[in-house]
Amino acid sequence: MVRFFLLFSFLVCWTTIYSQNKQQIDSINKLYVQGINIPQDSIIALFQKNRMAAEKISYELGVADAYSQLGLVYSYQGKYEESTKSTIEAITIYEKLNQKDKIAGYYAGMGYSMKYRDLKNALYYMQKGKAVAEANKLEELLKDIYNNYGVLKEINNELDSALYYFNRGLEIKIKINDTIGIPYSWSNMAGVYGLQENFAKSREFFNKSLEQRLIWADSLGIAENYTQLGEVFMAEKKWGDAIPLMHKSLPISLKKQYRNLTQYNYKILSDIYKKLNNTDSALYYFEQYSAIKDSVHSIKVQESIAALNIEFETEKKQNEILKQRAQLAEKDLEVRRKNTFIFGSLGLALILGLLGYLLYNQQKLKNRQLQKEGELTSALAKIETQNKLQEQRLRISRDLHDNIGAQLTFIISSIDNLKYGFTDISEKLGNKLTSISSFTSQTIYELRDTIWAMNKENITFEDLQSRIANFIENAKNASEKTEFSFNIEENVDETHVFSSVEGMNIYRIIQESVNNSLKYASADEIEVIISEKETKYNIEITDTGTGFDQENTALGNGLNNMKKRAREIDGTLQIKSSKKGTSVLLKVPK
Amino acid sequence: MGLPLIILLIVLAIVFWLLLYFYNKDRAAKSSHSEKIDKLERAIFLNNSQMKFRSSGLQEYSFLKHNLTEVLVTQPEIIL
Repeated sequence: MVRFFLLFSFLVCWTTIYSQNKQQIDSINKLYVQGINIPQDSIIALFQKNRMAAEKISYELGVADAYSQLGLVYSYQGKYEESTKSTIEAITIYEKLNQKDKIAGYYAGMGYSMKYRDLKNALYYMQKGKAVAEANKLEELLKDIYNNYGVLKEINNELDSALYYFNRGLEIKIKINDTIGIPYSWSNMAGVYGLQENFAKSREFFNKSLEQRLIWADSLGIAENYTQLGEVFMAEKKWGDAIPLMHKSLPISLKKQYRNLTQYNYKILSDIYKKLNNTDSALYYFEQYSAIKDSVHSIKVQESIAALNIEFETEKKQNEILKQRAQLAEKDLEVRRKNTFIFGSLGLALILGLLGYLLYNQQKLKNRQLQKEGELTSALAKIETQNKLQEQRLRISRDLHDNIGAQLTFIISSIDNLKYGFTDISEKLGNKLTSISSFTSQTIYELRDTIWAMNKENITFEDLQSRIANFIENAKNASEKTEFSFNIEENVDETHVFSSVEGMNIYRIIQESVNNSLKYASADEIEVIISEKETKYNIEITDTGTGFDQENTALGNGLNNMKKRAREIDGTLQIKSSKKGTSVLLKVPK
Repeated sequence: MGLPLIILLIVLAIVFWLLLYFYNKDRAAKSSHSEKIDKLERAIFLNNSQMKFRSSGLQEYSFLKHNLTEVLVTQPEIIL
């Protein structure tokens, strides 16, 4: 995906630059060199540079167009050799690119341009252009090529051939309805007929051309045709017929400021009148001719001066422009440097920013992973420890239960056997044995309590409540004469969870108290009440028994055990006894 | 080809390379982390299962059944 984006970006950038360069090259190649107001050497440098730019990006059409433009500029400069060379270079590339219309056009154009310098080569190139245009049926070009080829033939004095090609050009012009071109062909043909001294035919074609031009109101063409018709009459020495035609041409050429034609008309008129021995008119028209010749000459001089002035001004301006360009180039270079620096800095900042962000993200991810791993590792360590502890506890519990428990049971059994096996034992010994048996039983219970407490982590209030209720129920069944009651006040928080040690000790204290009430006080009523006051559970066991004297009576194992259990769970134990009964109050913090 | 364009292309290339490099590195780290986590979670699950199994066994040890009954039965000195 990333590779695709990279390639795509590269292609987009390359295509943009390539198309921009092409557009620039094409726009320079399309400059109209004839009217451009800069020195021609600069134009040559411009097209050479453009050609090199096109070569650099392998834009062959651009190279060919630049060569063709160079050919044109060289021809304006009179450097015909360079012109031909450049044009041939252009044509070679057009041939490679298969641009048939351009090949034909440039060959023909080259041929026509050298008609007065090198007629042989002119005919050769014209033929080449004609051949290409014919082979590719380029009618739009052929009509002009045939016409121009006809002109070359006419110059070469091959008048029949000239007529043939003028005629072929005319056929195409008629076919494509080239209303402007048709009169030209007729005029050309009329000219050839004139040279062949076929004056009737010549007149016929000039008249056809004139008619067409009159329809289209082609003033200059009309004036030319009138003059040409006059020339035909002159060739026939029909001076009188020639004069009106010249007089028709003259006002038009004057109105349209067609100076060369005007000058020619005056000259012809002067010659005609001279032939007619009308010296006044001949002189008049000659003077007119001289005046306009001078005027043309003067205009030409003025034009030359103006051109020189323009050239001077242009050169001056050119220098200024060059200076400004140099300054602009310098500024442009500086701007480019700055831009490069800014782009470079931005790029670096972007890379550094991205790098920082990526590193930060990576570190964040690592931290998160380490934290999670740490949490899980510590949870695993904890759970493993718990597991091992539980296993250890179970093993110890099993050992205690199976070994010590069994041994203690054996002791009880042995004592019972001893007591009942020997009937002649004294009462004192019997009591002692009973006491030992009872103490051993107590040890078994406590051992089981320890085992239970070791393996149970906590006990709910409800659990404890049900166990106490169960115990009371059993006691009720065992002692039918005694009334038992077990009450829990409404304000007691029944959602509390005791630790197993707390639960076991509370239960044992209640159990011991109830047993004492049954055993020593012969109570008629035993009541167990659980209440809650100042974040403490108050567990009160009261009986209506005989009570005992706390000051004079030494505390037995049972009471001492109860106090010890109360201390173990941070509780307090208060025992109040009178002749009406005994009350044991256990306060346990929540 | 202008210098800014070359800079742009170089920057783009570096950016893409950085993104690719860190993407691969993060992916590798995530994969390794995932393996570790799986291993730890499996170990925790195993320990939990063992403890639950033992706890369910311990629930069978009835406090009332094994203690209370015996207390009331094996106290011959209580004459009712």
